[in-house]
Amino acid sequence: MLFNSGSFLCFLLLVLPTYWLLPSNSLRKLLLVGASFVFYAWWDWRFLGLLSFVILSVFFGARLVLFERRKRNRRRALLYLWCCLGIELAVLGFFKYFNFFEHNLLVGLHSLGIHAASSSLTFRVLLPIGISFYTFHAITLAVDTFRGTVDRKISLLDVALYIAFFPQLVAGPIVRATVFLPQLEGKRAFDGEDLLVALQSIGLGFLYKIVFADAIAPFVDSVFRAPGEFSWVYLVAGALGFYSQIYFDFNGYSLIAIGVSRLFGYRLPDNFNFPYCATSLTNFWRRWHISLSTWLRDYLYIPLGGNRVPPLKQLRNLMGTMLLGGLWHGASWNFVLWGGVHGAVLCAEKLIHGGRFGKERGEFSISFGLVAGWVITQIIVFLLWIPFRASNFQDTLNFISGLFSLRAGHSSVERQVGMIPWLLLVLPIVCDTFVVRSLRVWREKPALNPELAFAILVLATLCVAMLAKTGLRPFIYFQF
Amino acid sequence: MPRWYSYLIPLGLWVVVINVSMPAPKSYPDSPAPGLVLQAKQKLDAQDLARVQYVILVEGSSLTMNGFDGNRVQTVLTEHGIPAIILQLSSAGANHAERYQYLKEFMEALRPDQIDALRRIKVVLCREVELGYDRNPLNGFLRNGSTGRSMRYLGPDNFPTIFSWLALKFGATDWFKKHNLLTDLAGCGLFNLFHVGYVPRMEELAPTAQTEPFFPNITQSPTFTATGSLDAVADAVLDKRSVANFSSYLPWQRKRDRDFREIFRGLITSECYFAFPSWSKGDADYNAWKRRQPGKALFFDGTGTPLVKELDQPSLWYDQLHLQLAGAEIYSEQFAKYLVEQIQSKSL
Repeated sequence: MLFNSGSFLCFLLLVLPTYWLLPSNSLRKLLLVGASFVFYAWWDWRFLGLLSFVILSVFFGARLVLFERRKRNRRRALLYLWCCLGIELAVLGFFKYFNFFEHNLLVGLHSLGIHAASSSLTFRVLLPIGISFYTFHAITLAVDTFRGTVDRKISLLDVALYIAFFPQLVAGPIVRATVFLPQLEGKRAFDGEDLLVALQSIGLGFLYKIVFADAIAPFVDSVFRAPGEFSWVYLVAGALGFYSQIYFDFNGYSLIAIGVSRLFGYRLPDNFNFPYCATSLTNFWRRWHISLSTWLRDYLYIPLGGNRVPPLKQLRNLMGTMLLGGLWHGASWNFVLWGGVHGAVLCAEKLIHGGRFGKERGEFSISFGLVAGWVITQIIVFLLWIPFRASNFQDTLNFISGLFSLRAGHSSVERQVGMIPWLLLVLPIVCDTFVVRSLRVWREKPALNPELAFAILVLATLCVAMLAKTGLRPFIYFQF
Repeated sequence: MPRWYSYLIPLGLWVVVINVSMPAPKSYPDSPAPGLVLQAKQKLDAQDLARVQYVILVEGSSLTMNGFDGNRVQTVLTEHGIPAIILQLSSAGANHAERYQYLKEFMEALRPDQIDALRRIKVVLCREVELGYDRNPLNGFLRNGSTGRSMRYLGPDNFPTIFSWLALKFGATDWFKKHNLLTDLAGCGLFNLFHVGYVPRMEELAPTAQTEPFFPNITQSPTFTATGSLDAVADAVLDKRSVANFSSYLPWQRKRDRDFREIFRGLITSECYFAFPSWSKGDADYNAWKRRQPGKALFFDGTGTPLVKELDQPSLWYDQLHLQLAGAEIYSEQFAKYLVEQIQSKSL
């Protein structure tokens, strides 16, 4: 069920009033769990069993960890934690990476002259939607229980709601157990302020998704479908289009998820903070998919030693974290390349400037260094979106070679696709960076009069809508 | 929160500027409207209007498209010494809202000197009568959905007209029952009002080709079986329920007729309605009821002419409503004779 579909609207109109009319908190939570299961089953009911398995395994796992920790039996608590993590990672590994590893194993064996491939050995595993997100939630709960940041018995209902809460079930944001579970205590009262904030968030999310992202999507799809057919100008436009599309698509989804949660009185963390304003890659990762990057930091990088280990180990840990972060997005060498190069640049920044790169500066401080940093960072991010979007490694190479060789394309294909208006590529980003940012970030000292900013936003939206090819599209991050 | 004017003013400005400078209907080429208007306009351009006495403008749906041969009617009129041009704007599935758009676009396509010339001669508007379309101003709209065909006539300038027809057509409970239609209409209206996707549509616009308004059937529908005789169907005795039903369509039809007249800004000197005989009892009843309506409007359905007897052969029909080529020739011949009689008796 897509957020931008009529069925979701009907679903929400049914669940939301019922939720607020129910007299007790337990009944409300029960309703939300039921609704979340319906939401998930809408896509494929057969995977409800898997979702239930993840919920039950982490529920019992966290119970056992808590029990042993309270008895101060750390070794046994650790054992249970690893068992629990093993189960969740096995689920994730099997459903998400089985096909990838099997394919690469067979290719590897084939190159060694061993022909192990047989149809009886190979089978396709269907990727359950949102599996990367809900297994990460399960891991979070188990680890937080072990660490003691979650220090109470949690009911099965609460665990089920934490794992399966429908606004964040299929594409995040990844919420910490320590953030979400306390919100489940006590009956919530309907709050007008919450409603207003929720509607603003949902409205901006739909604007980003339906108007900005979907306006660019058809052109991007055409260029990435056959990058070898296009000239370098089309490839630049296609890559720039995806640079814009992925941000508005995923940020749009996150804003809607945050807004819908808020309608039920639950707060989810922000997932984006104007990442295309970042002046270094370190800074970019503090602004892009914040819930994932902080998760990787707190549950992978820091447990590996973080910044407390010698510099070489720090770089190794950083590289490993980014490689796994890349692989988390999908089982493909493209994502390994994407994560690997991000990791390498982060390591380079760490080596050159230590930890200073990612620090936030005043919103209005501008220097040559900052501008140069912004240009270099955005070029790297722009180029690295190419492997992220390309269908396979060959297409990535094709795309990048076409881009840098200033190649001519096939005019008949280009005529058929037609060049996207450059305004459509630039306007949404400019609008987000200057107008939305001025409304959301510079509240204390706005650079633009809020009325003027809002007027510009409205006109820019209408302008994009007029330039756009239209159609309903699913969110990109559903595939992860 | 920004104040109300921060979004209402740009919205209002956008709507006005965009709709005045870029008419949305022109960005939907998959409607028959541009092709039909082009063929009518070219036919008019080819004529020396100083030598023409009558311009007869015929509008209709598939019944007219299959059953009315404008060229044949024009030939018969000329043979009877009446210099006339028949301009036909008919297409399958065209409801009244769409036909309203055809006529509007035709008028917009006329040069000022042509409008002046038309003022000096007699312009007759001949309009098809058919139960399905007369019952519902947007008949078939949901079938065409938000295709370019319906989007072309759902421009913001047509919305007040279409809603006034619907307001006269629907009672309070009907508005609720028709919520699908209304939400679709609202969605399409907003889409056009804000010109969503206008630029790519205009970029893909191909040159308009002529659309033939007369497209005869040459085979018979395999599902068509004629029962009884056409004559018996036409000689209808109307029950009270049918009469009450048909009468309930009158308020919106009167408004529609006024709106159609207004398109021509006084150019129309007389009007004529025409219907096709039908094997369907409902349609035949409606035609009979329409014929018996008091008033000065001319109405041709073949009653009192040899038409019904001549068409009383299933082999002349495609289905219960639509004629085949041979049937169309007979119908056009008889309709032409009717026009000759009316012109000679100064009724037109």
